[in-house]
Amino acid sequence: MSKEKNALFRLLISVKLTLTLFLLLAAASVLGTVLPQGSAIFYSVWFKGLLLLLCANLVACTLDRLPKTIRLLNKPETHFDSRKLLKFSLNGVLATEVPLEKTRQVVQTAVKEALGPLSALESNGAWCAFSESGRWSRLMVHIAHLSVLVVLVGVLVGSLLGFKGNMNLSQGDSSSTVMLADGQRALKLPFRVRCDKFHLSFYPTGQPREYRSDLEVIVNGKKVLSKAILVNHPLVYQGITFYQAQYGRTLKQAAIQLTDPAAKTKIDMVLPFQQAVKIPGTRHVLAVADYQDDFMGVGRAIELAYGKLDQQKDFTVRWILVDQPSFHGNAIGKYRVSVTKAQTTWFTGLEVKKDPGVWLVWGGFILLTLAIGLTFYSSHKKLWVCIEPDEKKKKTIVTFAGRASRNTQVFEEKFKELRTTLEMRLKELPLQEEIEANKKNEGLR
Amino acid sequence: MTSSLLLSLTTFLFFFCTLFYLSGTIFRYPPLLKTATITGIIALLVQTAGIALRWRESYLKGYGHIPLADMYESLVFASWAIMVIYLLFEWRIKQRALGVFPALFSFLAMAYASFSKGVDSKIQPLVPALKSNWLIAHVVTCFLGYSAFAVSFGLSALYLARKKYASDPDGQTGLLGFLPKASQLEWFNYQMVLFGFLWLSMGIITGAVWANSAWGTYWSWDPKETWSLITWLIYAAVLHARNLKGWKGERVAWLSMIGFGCVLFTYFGVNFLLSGLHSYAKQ
Repeated sequence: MSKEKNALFRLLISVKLTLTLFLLLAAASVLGTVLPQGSAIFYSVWFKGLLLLLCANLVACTLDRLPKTIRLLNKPETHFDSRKLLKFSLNGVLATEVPLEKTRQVVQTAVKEALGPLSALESNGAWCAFSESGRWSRLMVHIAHLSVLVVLVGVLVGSLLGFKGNMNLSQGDSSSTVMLADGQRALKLPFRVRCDKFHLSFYPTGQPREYRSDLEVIVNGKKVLSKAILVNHPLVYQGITFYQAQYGRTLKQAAIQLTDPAAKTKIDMVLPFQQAVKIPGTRHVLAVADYQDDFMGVGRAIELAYGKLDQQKDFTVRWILVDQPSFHGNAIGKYRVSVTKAQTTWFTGLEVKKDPGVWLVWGGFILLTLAIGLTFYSSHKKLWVCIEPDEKKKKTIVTFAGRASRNTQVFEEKFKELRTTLEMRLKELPLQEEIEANKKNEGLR
Repeated sequence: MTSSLLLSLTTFLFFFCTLFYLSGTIFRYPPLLKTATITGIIALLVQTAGIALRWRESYLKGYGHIPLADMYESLVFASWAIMVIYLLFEWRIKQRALGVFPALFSFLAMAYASFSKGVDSKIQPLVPALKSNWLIAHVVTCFLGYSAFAVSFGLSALYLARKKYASDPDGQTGLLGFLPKASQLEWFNYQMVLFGFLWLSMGIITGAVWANSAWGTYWSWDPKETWSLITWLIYAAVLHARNLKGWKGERVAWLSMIGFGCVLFTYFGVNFLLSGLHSYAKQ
């Protein structure tokens, strides 16, 4: 690796970068919520850049630390002695009259109870052993980090291979066209969805109780599935999900009367919603392009499009007010327009979505929660013991030391407890033996 | 007996609980602190009964749902969760002198819920968007997180006070002498942040799963979502700084307090100042 690459890598693995990115992302998010139209920030290149940098930071840290962790976990325990143990910040020394072999038994039981069984190692003159638990806990932090990547990959998969859009269906109508969220393109589904009925119900208090659409899936003209969807209970078919998102009134057809002031003629027409109808005796067509239940507070209105069928670009478009027949703007082309009847019906607004990445996101979430919990609530604990005779003082010396990868305060308490237990048991042992010996003597007598 | 009567009683009990904790700590008089703990337990029992009764009352009205659906109910639950978390913590560390802030927050949440004109205590039916089993999981996890952060705020404040106003931060004398040592306070705060972080993570995740089944998208940068993410980022920074950069003490305490500021904004600020998909929490 060249020198610059090295410097770049060192920057990428630094905690400073992590903290800076956390705080920058937080600051950008604050701006995104408080500024007017600030939410554009979340879709901006530089916000994505920050996220990408965080990913790079994660990957680099994992590349840097995971091999070290694995090496540490695979390293066999090497030779150690009591002098080495005294260098640990958490250590203890006990001297006892109890002979070495008996001391060893006491230590083995006590450590097994506190942490786990001891494994002995060869050591000259002394009996040395160690005990450990929770090795795997050192891997959890890496799993937590990688699960964040899994979530982000899931998001990417969803945005690349999925789509999001909506479909408005009037009662009784069916469609296979999804208007995509970008508002520009439409997508054709390999099946049709029909809305049989839309229901709206209220509580006695006036609040909405339920929005329900009775939907049918139609493949090649045959009904294959029917389901009533509610908010929180969507319909899923072939990996595509239909959510109850909106509802409203829409136009079925409008009966209108055209008046030509110059020719003094009146023409009656019936216009089905969004279908062009030729005006009798002319080369022009009329169509209802849109309908609003309450147009800017003045009641129902239809949007008429007028023009020649082969020159759609030159169509004239006007809003005609249904409930204000005398409004001077109720005119299109050379005609005055009055709507004699507007027949409306319910429509349901469905949100249509396909997201093949969502399972990666869920998997990442579950992994993340578990790994965060285990990272902080488990630890790699290790304890070393050396027992050796002190020939001069005719005593047995127990030296022990311990270390925990996390929650050191808790481990320290455990360590102190172990020390007390050992002291007590080693003190009691000669007494117990004396009592037992007395009992035996009495029995013999 | 009605739920509103029990919940009013709770408000007063939390008030006295706060007074007992405060006076017990200031006058260094353990029996007062013991009284505070007992008052806290009684308040919790009364509040639990109140919540259960409200639940039942909603069924009697014909639109039964768990009382976690609006501003009033969430405030009551927040107050309950803060006290539960604090009392469990007190029982584990076997020290009673840290209850002032948690008891105060529990009292303030109840008082705000009961007396604010902006918070309607009437039982409301569930709007269609809230009719989901995820309601329980999402609200409970979020509020356990928020409540742990509230306790953490108290611990950080006491830590900073101990550092600043006591000539000997670990000493046993002076006005703050009854508190645990500064190093212990620091460790307690870290434990509380961890606990809260875990629950907040689960709260965000259950929220995402729910949003996906209700609105068809697990993340839409709705203000409430975004602010919970901001809170998450702040506490993630706390954990990384403390574990990897060895930040301890004042900087971590300040960051934890800022984190709780974000919690408050996520809860109140977003409801009252920003509009978004979570607007039903306003009522």
